[in-house]
Amino acid sequence: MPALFIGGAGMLSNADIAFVPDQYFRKGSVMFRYIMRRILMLIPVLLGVTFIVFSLMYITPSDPAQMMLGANASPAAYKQMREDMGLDAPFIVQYGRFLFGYKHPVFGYKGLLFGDLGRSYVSNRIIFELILSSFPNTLILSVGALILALLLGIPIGIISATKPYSVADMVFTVFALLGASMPVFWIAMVLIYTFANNLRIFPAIANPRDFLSLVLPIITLSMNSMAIIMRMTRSSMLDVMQQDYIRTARVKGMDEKTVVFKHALRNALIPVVTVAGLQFGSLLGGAVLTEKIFSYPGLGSIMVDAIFQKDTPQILGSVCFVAITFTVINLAVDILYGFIDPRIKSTFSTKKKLVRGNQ
Amino acid sequence: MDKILEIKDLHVHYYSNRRTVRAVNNLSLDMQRGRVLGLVGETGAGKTTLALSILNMISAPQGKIISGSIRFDNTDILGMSNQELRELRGKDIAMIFQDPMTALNPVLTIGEQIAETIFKHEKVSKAEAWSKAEEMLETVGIPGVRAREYPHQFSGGMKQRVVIALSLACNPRLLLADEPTTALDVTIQAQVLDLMRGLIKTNNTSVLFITHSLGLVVENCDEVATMYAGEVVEYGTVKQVFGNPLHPYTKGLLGSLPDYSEGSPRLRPIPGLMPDPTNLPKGCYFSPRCPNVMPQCHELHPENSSIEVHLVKCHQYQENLHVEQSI
Amino acid sequence: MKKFLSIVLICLALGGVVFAQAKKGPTLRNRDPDTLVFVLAAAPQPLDPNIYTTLNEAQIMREINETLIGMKSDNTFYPILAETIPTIQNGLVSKDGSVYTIKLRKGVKFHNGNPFTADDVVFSFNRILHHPKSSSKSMFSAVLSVVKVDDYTVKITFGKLKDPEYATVALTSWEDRAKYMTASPYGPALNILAHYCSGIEDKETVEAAGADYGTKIVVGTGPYKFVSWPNPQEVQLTRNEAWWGDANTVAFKNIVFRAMSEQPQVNNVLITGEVDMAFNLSKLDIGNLERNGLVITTKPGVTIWYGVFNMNSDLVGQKKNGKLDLSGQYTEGDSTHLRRAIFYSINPVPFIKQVDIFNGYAVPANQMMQPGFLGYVEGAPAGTPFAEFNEKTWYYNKEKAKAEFAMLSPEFRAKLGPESVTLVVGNVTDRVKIANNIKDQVKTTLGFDLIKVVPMVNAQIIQQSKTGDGYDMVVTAWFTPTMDPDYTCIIYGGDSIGTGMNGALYNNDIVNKNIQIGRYSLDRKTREEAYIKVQTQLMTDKPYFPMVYENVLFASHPRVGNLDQAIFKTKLVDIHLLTRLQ
Repeated sequence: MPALFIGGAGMLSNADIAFVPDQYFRKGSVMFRYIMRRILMLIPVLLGVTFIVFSLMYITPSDPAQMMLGANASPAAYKQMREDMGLDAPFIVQYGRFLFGYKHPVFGYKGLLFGDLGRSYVSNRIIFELILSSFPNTLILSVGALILALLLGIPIGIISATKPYSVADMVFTVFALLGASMPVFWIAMVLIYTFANNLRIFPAIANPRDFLSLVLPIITLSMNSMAIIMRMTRSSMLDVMQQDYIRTARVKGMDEKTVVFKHALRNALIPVVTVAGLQFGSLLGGAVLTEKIFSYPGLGSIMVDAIFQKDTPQILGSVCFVAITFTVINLAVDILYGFIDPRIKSTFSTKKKLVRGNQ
Repeated sequence: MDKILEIKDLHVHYYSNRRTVRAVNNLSLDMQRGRVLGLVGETGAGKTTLALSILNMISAPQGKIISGSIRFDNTDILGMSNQELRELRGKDIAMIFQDPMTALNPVLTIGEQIAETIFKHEKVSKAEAWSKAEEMLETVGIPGVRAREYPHQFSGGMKQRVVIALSLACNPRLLLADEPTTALDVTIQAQVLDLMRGLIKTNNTSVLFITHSLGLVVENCDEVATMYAGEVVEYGTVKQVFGNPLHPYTKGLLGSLPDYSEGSPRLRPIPGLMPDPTNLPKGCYFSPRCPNVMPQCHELHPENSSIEVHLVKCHQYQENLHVEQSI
Repeated sequence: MKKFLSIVLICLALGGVVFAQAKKGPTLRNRDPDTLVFVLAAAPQPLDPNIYTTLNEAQIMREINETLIGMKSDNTFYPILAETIPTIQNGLVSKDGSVYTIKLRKGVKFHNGNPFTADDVVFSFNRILHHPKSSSKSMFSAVLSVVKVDDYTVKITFGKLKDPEYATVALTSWEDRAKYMTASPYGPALNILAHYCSGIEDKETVEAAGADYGTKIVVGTGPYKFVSWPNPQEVQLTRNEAWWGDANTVAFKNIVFRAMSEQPQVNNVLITGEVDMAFNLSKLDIGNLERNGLVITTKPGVTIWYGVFNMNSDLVGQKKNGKLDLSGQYTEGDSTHLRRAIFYSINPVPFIKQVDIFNGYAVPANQMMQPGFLGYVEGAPAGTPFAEFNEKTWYYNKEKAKAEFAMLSPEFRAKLGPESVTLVVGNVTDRVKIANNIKDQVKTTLGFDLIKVVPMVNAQIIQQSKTGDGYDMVVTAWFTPTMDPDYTCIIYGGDSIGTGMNGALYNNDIVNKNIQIGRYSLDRKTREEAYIKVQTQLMTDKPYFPMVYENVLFASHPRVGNLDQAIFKTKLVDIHLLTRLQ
């Protein structure tokens, strides 16, 4: 999508038409409509996601009623449980119930559209309450990891780009390759073994209240993203440094620091922002393994446990939540993009007057 | 006369794929203050390399100035430190590049791009630099309020005008204009050149006008030098060189211009191609294509023969020092 | 370059020194020494003992909700919320053995101050038996009625179904039970009264809390009370200073339960000292734990690992006229010989030694009953089917295996291709390893790769075991929380066919009769004899092959004491019995 915008902006600027200066931009109306459209797109996304997940739960073996009652339940109790949980109803009826609600004294709820999926089969907690209390924890990890990835990835990328093929660049490249290819699980175990077991600096269990315990999981989670952002920054910077306007800046006599940070970096960061936005989405999902290993109470752990125990309403609720978050993040990135790149910013404006350029 | 630029025996090489590209070979050139010198040559002759060398901006490890000297207003450029060079660039010597579409930074306002030069080189506050930038824009015919806009909001011709404003902002003594109008269409070209001429005259700026268009040289330049395979093969006033071209290459260039007085003309190109800069021929570089080639041309590289200010590098003129001035 | 390398080398050397120094025993870091941190294998379900039954919440609930009677680690009973253990001798059990009069302990209060009375007992049992979500209905199915006599006296009557046909009827109230059941003595009566599922809950609190009971509100009479459950994996308890049983004997002021499912990580946190006790260890690394100063406690457990021969299988079962033979009068056919051939080819003793399966923490099993239970036959007495058993080689007998194999008819033998016997197993690493070992052993002994191992989700195995379709053999395990043989007999009782528990679909009248005798007699001798007969018949017919009895294994911080008394064969721990050594 960003590519389309750049193309569009490019075409417009080539025309012999002068744009009206900033004060005539009514960012309000077009931007607002754009945001509304994107939010409306959420609805088919959520329907699709829930339908697919629900179908998967439906066709895979494993019976929630059986799991609730345990291995040696009497056939009568089992039959009763299935009826109570509504598991004997046809597929569409069950799916419909998830959307619109289910009337039952014990197992009932108001439905996904009302933000109520009742209680989890396994933990008997109210599902959305559980999601809302655990999601901020996952957010802490993901945001922390993204910040670390940016804080380290971008400067290292810049260093690699300004001194390509030097020793430093080689070292960083190897580091990046390792970070991108090592599995999260392995990184976590190595970190725990080194820093928790042997050096006893950090604890092995992570807790959202204790900052020191968050260090290892955040490092673990950020490795992959850091490598990607580092490589992205490097290649983007290398690309930008070849551009003519960098040569212009040097020819004007600007010192190298200004050239790199003021002229080159702002351009180079544009694709990095997009990548960072996408990375955030995968960080939200990738937090699952990290959470499991560090025994961290986030949404990832809950989702994994729910899947293993076939806790269908919990899975559906969590998946919806993640889908919504991911969509919102991408929307935010697209809008942020517009603020960083002035070429995109113009496409959000209305053209009040078209003036023939006076040359 | 006062020489603003003296280049002597300059050699510049580029390195790629373990081959050496000999871009500038034993080039010597002088420029008079306050004059416009046109530098003519085909693509690949080494013109941009020469311009960048003047600013000592040939970047290692790809390229290197091997030997030679460049003196600007009696200062040795090649001996300057990086700090001194940075102060020189943009302030004393400015350069305009060929492609206006890519010469400006897309994420900074044009005002910012002009103001930063002013702020760096002159002792003014940021606010003063900005208003000076707006003034510069006015002088090139763009409303000062548009300084807040971004490059993509301007057309090609206007962008080049911004570039000119940028280069002249600190009132440089020498302007290196590398094919400034090649990327523009003809009507805009004329406007931009008018503008340039006006500004140059007002500030008494010396200009090295690099181009491959002979017509532009005639219109805008005082002197002209022809460049071939990295060296200057002929130099003189426009009247001298175009009135009485001495070097076979210059003759070939002028001869290749279509002459409409003969009805529908056939094109008369110079046969052959410019030599491969990684593998230059022995002797005179033009010898493979020269209609007046002599045996010694393949063996010996010609020296400069000067006829007053009209210099030429060709064996034909080695002994013959007296040439009538043709009109 | 040289400078760079030398800096790197110095750093590595320094790092090595620091590393070496850093290895010490588990420390408490800045953890509260008065808090015991206990690791659970998975996030606990709601702390409602009448409804939820897995080991994880059981560990927590036992400290909060107490049962009427309790069981010590030597399998003897002692009174908890009951004043005395009812027996026929002391008159608290009716002459016919079906009615138990329980005199309740006086002066006991729930954690919120409510008094403990007979109403709570009736309420709790009603919940176990009739609440729609309860998972322990089957275990307590022998309870006919629980009636309040006065505030501190309760009468519990045990019974059985008037007709086996009624097994499919859902009994949803005391009236239903009265209608379909009749009074009868019940052998495991005291065992189920000691099971944590019958922990007594406060009627008033549970009714008021509604669906939030178990997660936000938890109340009991026990030595620890519920503090909070901040996230699904962490539960906090604190000592009940007003406990009737003398809070001074309870060593740890607080308990924090933490769920950790990754076994290697459990080892890590034990080593660093961040947790005090755990049982879901990575067995491979036990030596490392010991080297790091942790205390390893192991004792026999009540989990039996066994294999199943599907009687409904054409290859290894017992079929008559193409249909499953439920008569129990088995005729020797080709499939019988193949079954025995496979039986004698197996030797589970190497599995015990194998580092990545049991790592030595198991004992070979000679019968389908756990040691220490009533009716367990020790060793290998001559003249019994157990005689062939040997501590080192189990029942393995190469000659017999080959002999049985040779007795196969040519047509049957021709039908046997490689991997034609399907062995299904839960897709958990250890189980699959055991299955593959069996496959290799059969191949080596018979010279023929007969078995195909098919890993599957456990729930699907149970599903297929209801009808006996799609498999010839199963490898699985059984856990008996009541510490009574009757619960183990579910595996081979005829009435279990169709529930998925009786994977062999085995039905034998002698076995069934004796299970019934054992179930409905109170006399120990009678029960013992009955169960011996059951086991003898089983090892004769060989529809199952027992493999090992798995040990209970705990690792704990050296500061925790009295482990032997507190840790039970059921993998549960009486945390209030633990002591602080440091």
